Amino acid sequence: MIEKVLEIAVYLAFGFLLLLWGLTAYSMFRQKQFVLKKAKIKLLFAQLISEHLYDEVSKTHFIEIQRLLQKEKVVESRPKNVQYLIDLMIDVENYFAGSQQEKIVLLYSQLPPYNVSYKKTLKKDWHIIARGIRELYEMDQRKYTKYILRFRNHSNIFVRREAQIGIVVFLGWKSLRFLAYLKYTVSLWQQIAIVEKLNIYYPVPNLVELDKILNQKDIPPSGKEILMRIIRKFDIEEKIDYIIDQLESENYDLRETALFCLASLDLNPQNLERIQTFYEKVPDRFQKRQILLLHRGYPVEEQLVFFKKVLKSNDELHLKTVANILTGTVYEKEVDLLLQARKQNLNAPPNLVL
Amino acid sequence: MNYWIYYFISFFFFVYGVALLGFYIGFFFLAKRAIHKSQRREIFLKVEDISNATDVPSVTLVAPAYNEGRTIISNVKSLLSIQYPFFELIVVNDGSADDSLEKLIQKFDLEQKPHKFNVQPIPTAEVRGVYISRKPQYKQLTVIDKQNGGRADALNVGINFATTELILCTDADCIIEQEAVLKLVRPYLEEVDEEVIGCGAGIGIANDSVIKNGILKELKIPKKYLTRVQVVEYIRAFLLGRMAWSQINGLLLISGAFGLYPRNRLIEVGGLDTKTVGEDFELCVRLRKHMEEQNIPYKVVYIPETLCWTESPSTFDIFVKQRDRWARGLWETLFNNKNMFFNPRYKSMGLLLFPFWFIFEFGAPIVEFLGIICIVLFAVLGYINWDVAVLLFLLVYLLGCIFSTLAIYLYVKNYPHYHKGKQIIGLLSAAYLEPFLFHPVMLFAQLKGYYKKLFKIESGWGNMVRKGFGEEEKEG
Repeated sequence: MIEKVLEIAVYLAFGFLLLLWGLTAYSMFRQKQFVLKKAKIKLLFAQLISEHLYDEVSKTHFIEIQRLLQKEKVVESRPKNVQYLIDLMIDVENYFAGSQQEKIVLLYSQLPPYNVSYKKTLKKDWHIIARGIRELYEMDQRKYTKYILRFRNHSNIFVRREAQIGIVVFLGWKSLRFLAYLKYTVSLWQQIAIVEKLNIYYPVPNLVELDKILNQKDIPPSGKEILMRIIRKFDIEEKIDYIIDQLESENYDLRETALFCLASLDLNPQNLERIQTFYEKVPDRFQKRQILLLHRGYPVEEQLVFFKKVLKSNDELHLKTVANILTGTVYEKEVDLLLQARKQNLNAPPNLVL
Repeated sequence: MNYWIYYFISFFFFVYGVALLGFYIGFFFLAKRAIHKSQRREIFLKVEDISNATDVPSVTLVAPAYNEGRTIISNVKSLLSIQYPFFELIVVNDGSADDSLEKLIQKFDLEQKPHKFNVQPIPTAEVRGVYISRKPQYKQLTVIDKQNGGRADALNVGINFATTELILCTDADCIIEQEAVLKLVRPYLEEVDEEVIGCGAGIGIANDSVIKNGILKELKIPKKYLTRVQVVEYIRAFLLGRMAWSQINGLLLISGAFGLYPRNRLIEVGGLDTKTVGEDFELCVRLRKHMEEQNIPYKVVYIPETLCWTESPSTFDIFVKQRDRWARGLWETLFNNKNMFFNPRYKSMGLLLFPFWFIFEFGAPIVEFLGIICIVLFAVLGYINWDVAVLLFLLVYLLGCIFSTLAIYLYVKNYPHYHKGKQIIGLLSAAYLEPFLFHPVMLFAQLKGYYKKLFKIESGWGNMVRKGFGEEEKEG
């Protein structure tokens, strides 16, 4: 009996192994075919773009394009081919601006299969909806703005992420109002993407709209992080205080973002003075160290009172950080002596220049 | 009575084998799901988006080097050529006895910079000098010369001197894909509810491949059987094992050759343990333990794609040394953290992951060895039904072949590295010979490692002689 069962199991296992060989071979064949197909679609698309942009467009121009694409099997029944064409379209769109971009947007509205990206947003699968939204804003299809708005607080992170980025692409600085109504935490990438898109599509800061949102109460922490990144990216000097204020927050990530943003901004003596007041208040010793590091590169003389206070502390991390900042200045030797004295458990030399 | 003992022992091995088979089947489905999920997510965060962004976290690559003078220049050039908007490279010369440092100083026009006030939160062996390049094209490069203290100590020095948010621990002789860091930071950028405390990716074997200027130009199947079978072993381990664990946030190991960690967490746990030979496994376990104790939600993530290429041992002698060391590392970490076993405080790590690692990773060589002894003993006593035994052996062998083939199939289907029929046949044939040629040697090496630990025989890393990728001549 056992022998019989084992014998059947061996046959089954061997059969399954054969099936796997077949699947592997088939998979390799399909991949090769698709690589060839992609090359053909790419070539055709390059020709279409060049004809559309630089040749005279006849009445039958779009019909010819449609025929050519159908001939290359870029049809709804071959979704992989359609998706590849869309990816190409998005890549190409980013290279053009002005009237040429307008021509490209017109071409895209005529390419079959029609409304494919919009149709994706009607599906149930989150990744298809998110992909559809992404394609709509990447191809600058502004007529769908209102439609995208409804996904901004979707329960799926990818859907709401793409929707929020889309809103920023289509509505610009005005769209930042949605930050006050965020239902979910915004991921770091989403923050970065929103700031990047704002910078690409609307490079001139709209301070009126920014002020409106900055003055809003109850903005969730991740919304505040986006605002700080915007201030940093657009180098809006008059709003640096908003970032400094966040150092007081109990939220670790908020303080971390504030420190990150301040590190790359040009700070004036008043800014530095305000930042120094938060040194004692910030509970995390590594963030305290980051506060010290913010003083690097600014005239040492103006920070001496602050540094002197820090050098009295017992935290080696902070002592050495200040010492490091003072390396190469006239105070280097004094600090060296101080640290050596500390190391040997002696009192600090009394006549410090500091 | 003897017959009952025979049945009891046979039943034990049967249950162990069936449980292992069940886990492997589960791994396959979990891995498949994880790969699918990873590919879907990639669409929404393309590497070009990351490379064009200005706010992405900065990364330091820390690469320890010990007596690698033959290939150090091309290795460093390779590491410098990676694509990432904000990265620095710290090469830590771990007291090399050869001319590694001199070569680096000369080639990259390095000058010493003062470091006496540098904060070193993790205690390490003495740092002798810190060097930066005078040439602007190498501004990302810092070379630190220190007294010899081992790989973990060298990495700790790099962590101390790094100023970035993320640290990529690697080896100077690894070939990292150009877009590797861009792909590796993805989980850090995307995660919202759980902090990513570690991220690894697939590691591949590049023996006999074509490498030019530190970049993998053409991937070839290794000529030697030993290295070829390790290709299959790596594919199986990374694609099935680690991806499956990643799917349920159960990863306990990120390979030392390629792992990205947040610097603040590394410092909080005191860096890598210099006393163990399995410092990568130990670090991951300690990081997880730390997060559990702090009650902070966390994640350890794995990327299925092969992003780092390394040279695997090409002789049985070096291979045995490597696996002996891995076995000792496993022993040390498991026994040093024994308080986690079935400890509900550590949730799934204490109740599932650690017991699994103990029973099926640590226990497998012991069970296998005992199995061989039992077969011999029962054969001598005439208890074995040879017809059943042969069929059972054939079935187990075929199941092993199926898992290897499944791993290769998944790899071929999803990644372009091995795309020629000849390559696939080479890999499959190596996999099918594995139980006869490769596995017994590995079993021997693992048992050797355990023996050393059991009888407290002192043994370090062993001399891991590498051939190199044969580039030093071209480097001039």
